Amino acid sequence: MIFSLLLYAFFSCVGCACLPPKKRLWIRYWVWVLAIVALYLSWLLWDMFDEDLGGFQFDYQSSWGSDWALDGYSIWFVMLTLWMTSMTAVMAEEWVPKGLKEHLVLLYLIQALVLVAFCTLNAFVFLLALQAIILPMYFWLVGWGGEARRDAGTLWLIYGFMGSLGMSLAFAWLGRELDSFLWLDWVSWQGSLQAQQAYFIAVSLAMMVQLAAVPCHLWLPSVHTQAPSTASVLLASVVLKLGGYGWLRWGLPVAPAAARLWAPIFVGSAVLALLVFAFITLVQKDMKRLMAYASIHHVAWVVLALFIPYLGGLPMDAVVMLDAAMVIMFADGLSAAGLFLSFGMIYHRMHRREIALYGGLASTMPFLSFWFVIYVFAHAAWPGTLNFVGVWMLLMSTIRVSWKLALVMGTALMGSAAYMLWMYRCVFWGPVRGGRKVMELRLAEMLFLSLLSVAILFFGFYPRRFLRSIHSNSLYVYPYLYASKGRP
Amino acid sequence: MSDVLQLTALIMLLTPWISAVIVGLMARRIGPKGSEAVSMVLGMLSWLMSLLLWYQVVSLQSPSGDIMLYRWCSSGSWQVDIGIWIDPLSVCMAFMVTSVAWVIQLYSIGYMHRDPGYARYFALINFFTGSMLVFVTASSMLQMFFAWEAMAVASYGLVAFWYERTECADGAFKAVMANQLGDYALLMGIMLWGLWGGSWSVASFVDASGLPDLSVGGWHSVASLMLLGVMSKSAELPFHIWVPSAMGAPTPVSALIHASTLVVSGIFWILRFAPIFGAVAYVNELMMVVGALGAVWMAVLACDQHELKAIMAYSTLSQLGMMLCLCGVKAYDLVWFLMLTHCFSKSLMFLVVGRVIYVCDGEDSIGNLGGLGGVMPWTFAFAVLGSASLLGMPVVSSFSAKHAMMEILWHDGSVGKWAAGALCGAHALHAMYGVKWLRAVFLGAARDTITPESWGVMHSAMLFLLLPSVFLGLGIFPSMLVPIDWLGLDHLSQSWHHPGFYSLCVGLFFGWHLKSFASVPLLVHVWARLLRVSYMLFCWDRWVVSGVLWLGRRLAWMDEQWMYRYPTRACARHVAQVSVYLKSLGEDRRSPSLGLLVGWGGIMVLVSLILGVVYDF
Repeated sequence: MIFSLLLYAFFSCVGCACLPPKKRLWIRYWVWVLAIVALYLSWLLWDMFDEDLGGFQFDYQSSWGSDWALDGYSIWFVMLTLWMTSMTAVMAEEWVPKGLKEHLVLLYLIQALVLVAFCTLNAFVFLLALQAIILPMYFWLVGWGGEARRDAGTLWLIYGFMGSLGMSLAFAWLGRELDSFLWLDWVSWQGSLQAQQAYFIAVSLAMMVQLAAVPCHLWLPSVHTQAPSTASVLLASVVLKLGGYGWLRWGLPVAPAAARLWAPIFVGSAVLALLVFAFITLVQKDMKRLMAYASIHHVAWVVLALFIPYLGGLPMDAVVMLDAAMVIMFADGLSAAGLFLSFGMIYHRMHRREIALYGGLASTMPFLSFWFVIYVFAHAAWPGTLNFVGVWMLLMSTIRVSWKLALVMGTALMGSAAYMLWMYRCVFWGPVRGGRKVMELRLAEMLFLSLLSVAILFFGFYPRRFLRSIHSNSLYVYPYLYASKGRP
Repeated sequence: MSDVLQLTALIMLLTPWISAVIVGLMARRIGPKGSEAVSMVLGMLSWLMSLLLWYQVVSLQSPSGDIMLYRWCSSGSWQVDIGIWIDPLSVCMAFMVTSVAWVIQLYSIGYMHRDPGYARYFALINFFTGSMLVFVTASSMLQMFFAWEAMAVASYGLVAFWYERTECADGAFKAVMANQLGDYALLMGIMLWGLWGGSWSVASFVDASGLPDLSVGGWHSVASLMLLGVMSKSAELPFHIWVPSAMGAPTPVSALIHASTLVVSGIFWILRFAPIFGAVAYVNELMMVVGALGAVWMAVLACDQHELKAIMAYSTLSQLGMMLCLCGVKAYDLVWFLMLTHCFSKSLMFLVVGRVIYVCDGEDSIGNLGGLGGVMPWTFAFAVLGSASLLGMPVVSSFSAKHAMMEILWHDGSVGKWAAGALCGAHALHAMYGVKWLRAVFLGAARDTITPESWGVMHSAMLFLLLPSVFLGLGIFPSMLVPIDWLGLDHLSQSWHHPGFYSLCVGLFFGWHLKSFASVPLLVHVWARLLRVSYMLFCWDRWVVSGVLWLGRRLAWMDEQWMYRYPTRACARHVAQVSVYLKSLGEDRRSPSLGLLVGWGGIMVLVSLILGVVYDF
């Protein structure tokens, strides 16, 4: 199964590179064929996956000694990646007037690298994929970005490389130490507390940069603002989530003693971020910047879900919090993707980013305004959306650890409602700006927007469908993450 | 719970949602006529089902029961089930909701028929009705919270129905945010309730013996947090600010959500979870004080309003204060009855006001209206009868309930005595502004030439609401209609001798002769001072907003300065130095970006070297 996935990833990229650059129609067919194959693959993955079995499935040893497998967490990320790349590729055809082929090659390259990062059980391969994503993203940014794309690109490079520098060292060292790069060997590492701390800090730094967690978040607003719409969609929905996933897979279980030691600092910074960034997001004047800050704000939930179990509480609650971390990441991937997709559709019709230049869009884009409001409420973690499920599970488990902490965290719900609804009010309501001509959506756009909102609402109303594989895998990884295994 | 009953409840709940989906998604295909037909027919179906339920549960007294639909989410220590809870309270409320919603859709056919957003209007109304029905029949606390938030979404869309008008859009945002404050508190209350071992299932509140001793310890915080949520949704004193600004909504929408359904959902929460609130003494006293104060204060402000919808809004706020005050003395049956009568009569009043606004082309300032009684005799009649039933005049209306209210409050300690006095004052003020606006709008000299009205669909709608608001209060039907225990006050309920009635008479007198009192300097002075202080106190949301924005700008600046500029500049400086150095090594001065590339290349080579060395170590 994983072999076909990797084959798909490889050939989508290579095939795209082989297409004649001038024939946009060929590219169009290719993109749609790939989208259908991706859909089929994700259905196949879902069908063959045993949801009640925690741990790894689809094991596959490639000839060069690398291990590949999927578990209840990564399968959702893989599916998200497949869906979002397909949608983005179809949209790119409309959004990218020049150099479409190159754009798509980079897109499929990123897809391949992200899939590799999600599927691998080899630390070295993970590191390689994580670092390799930096370059195609950079080329995307400087090739098709906004007016200040060079600065944003440099910022992305600096943050990306500086962040993963320590992680490269740590990975190299630990791989040497254990004489293996395989996950199972790494999680049974019995390092001293000092060694664990060094490893943990290095990896956490890289993951916080990747997640855009406070205080390593500052690249995200600039990059989002300057990135082409396609890059923003992928960045928000998939590439950022790689950080949370990497932390969950390569950071915490390898050095749990260090994580326990450092948890108060991470929790503190995340709570601070949850409080402070609601205000900061509220005053943003640029649409994409606002959505970027919203991502930064929501990432704090993920950090909290990962680190609060180290502060105390029952194993049961820790498992629920693991579930919550996954739900929040996946839900945020869906709703942020929806927001950035719809904003791309708006942007390529109106060509402006400042909120003040918008107004009354509900009159000119009635359908889009309907779907947009679903993503807005999802992003504000409204009940009925998947985002609320995550926040609810997190708060309900946190309250067992400390009800004061839960009370403080809950205020962030008001904050996210405030900035999302205010943004919606300013952009979609009020006097119409920029002409009263009604702009219809294309069929593909309608399809994607409705699929995303249906997914958000369906899982919001019936989260147990989503949680089944997540929960069984949380039970599997819990001992690696939180149980003390006789370590220092 | 029999299968028929289950099916009935399910159909009643689902029809508004189905009609919202059909009307919302197929608006273009079925057109305005089609959307109106779909929502009227399905609304009627829903109403019939609720009637059937009401007959089964209230008249035939079939036992209360739970229909579990599915498990939403669970963990080892908690689970949330989605289901339907059928008992007299939920059935009565559902009956009220479906009736008012149907009547209001009927009215809207007349009121909204020229509007381009006709289909959206019906879809939203149905969405709201569906959420409210889920709210009143929910089988667990968290499900009620879901529906509560869905109602907020619906009100966000309905208040901003004419979204291009700035005041409508702002009003919708303000309404949701003011509610959001309370929703946060409510959610925390729900979570604490679950944490300390309470069950979220509604069934556990019916038989209070299974509940823990709620008068001790941390339960206080649960009751207080939930009270905050209730106060924001039911627009009690400090949170009332969102209702007047939400009056940009179409008038029938106000009749539905700002008079009868959405704003009473907080009170409904208290009725539903009465054991939580009833057990804590200071919460009860707080309810009495806040409620009584709100009842008087909002009535005072209502006297100062010049726009018809604003008068109605403040009048609703005042009545909601009365209900909260009554919750404080644990007279829940009475609150329930008061709520039902108020819902029907206040919806009726909003429809009357809407009729006036419709006929006068959007004019709703009482200064510009007058003499409409002659040309709009039907509307005038509805207005008078509706006002009478709203005020609790003898025979026609909630007279007995208001009477019993005074009686109970008066016998409930010192706070109750003060509250009873305050509510008497509120009564007088209600009568005063009621007479004032009726006189100004319907009597006197006509301002415009308006063609005399003939009976139309809007009148039928008003008639449908007039019937329950008159007969519900006759004092004959309540025990049949609503299975409440009259608390042994039957002997009082038919008597006219009660302070509420006397204060009504005083209010009527003052209202009629308002012009002559307006020339007494002392009265005018005190009145003006009172109003000024009120308006100053009640613009706290402005201070909050400007504070939040100030803080936001400060924090954003700090974020950029401290965390972006300095480290990035420092970093860029070092990178630049390295690249300049590497560039000088390569002796290539053709382009700076090449230098950067070389710099990064150098760094990467260095890193690879280090990695290699470490790995080979």
